[in-house]
Amino acid sequence: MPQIDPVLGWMAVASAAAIFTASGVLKLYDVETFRGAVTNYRLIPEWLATPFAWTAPVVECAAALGLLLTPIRESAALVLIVLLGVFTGAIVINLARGRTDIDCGCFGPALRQRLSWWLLLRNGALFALLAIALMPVGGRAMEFFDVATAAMAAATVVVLYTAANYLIANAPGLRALGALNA
Amino acid sequence: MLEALVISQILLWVLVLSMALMMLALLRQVGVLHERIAPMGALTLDRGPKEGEHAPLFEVKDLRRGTPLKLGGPRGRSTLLFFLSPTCPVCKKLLPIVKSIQQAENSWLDVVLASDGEPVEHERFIRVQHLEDFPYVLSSDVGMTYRIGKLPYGVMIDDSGVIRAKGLLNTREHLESLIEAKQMGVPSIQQFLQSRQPEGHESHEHAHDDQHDHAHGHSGHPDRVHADDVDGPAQNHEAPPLAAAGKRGGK
Repeated sequence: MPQIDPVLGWMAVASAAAIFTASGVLKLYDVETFRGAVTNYRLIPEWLATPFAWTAPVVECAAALGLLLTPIRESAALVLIVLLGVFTGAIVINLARGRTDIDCGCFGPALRQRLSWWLLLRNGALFALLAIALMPVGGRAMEFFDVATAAMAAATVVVLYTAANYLIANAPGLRALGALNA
Repeated sequence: MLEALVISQILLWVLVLSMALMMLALLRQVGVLHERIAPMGALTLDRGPKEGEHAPLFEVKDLRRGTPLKLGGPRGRSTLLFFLSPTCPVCKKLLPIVKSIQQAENSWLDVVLASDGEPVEHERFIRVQHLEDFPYVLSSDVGMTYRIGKLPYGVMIDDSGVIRAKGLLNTREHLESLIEAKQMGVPSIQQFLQSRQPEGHESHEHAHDDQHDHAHGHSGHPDRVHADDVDGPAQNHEAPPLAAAGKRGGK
């Protein structure tokens, strides 16, 4: 595997950790709503919805924090990749079924996004972030200035990710307005 | 030279991050704007029958029992129409509260659940959520008449068949506000506050001003105001223009 610069590696690790912790916490903040979103996907039996609605966000948070610990980083990233794969698969199946009116559930009650192909693009970006986090870092030691660069870059990635999610959430509203004027 | 590079780097990062934050704030505002002007059931758009008007009469059938059910008109007891759908998470969250309200207010209130769609899906929903005790109505007519865009939505009809309060419900407090509205005779907390305003502003007049302003704000779109005039002769001119436009798309 190719080695990557530690600044890039830490940027990916820190931003992925923040993103997944935040979305896990938001789901746990209102588990009942997330459970509703899970049942709406119509993929697992009703009795499994509650345990899943509790387990998935807890695993998400734990793995996100695990990213920050170098010894277990690799396994934490793999857990997140699997979890993200499950979420993405659920979205793809329901897009194929044409059930696009349901809430993604990605951020609990904080941000409602209807299912769309844009969500897959967004999850693709998250996969890329996790892939970078998986790569071994090396080449040089981190200096103070590198730490600052990585921190600022990670913060910018998190903010841009959130902004992209607002764009996705706003899209149906814009379409509805367009239909009204047509 | 190195120092200059370091300074420029720091400055650039600060600027990049603040631009990203500004963009985020802008996009949030766009989202709020969409919610305000959305054609489907934004809270600010008061559509359908108004508070204080007589509730439209419906002869519907209870889904499980098949017994006929009358909505609207004087019946000696109040009715809370609760619009819901099996696919709406917030509805599921509110259902336990609806059940406890029905129990607590049983002496004067009947809760009727209303939705539309395939009966099979709803029968399953009733079974899973244990809604067997409630009258459950499947009728797109009722939803259309009340202009329900977002769920869950509640309409409080009093014992003489007059709509006392209505609105989009997101929390226990929203739901309880409908009960309060019936008991206190004030449709919304906004009107309650307005009616208590000092300095001789008569509450009715004030509400009128507000609505007028609202309609005026939209008059920048000549086609919409026109649509309102043509489509809704029965409505007074204060009705939000978008309501009329939405009606065109409705059915």
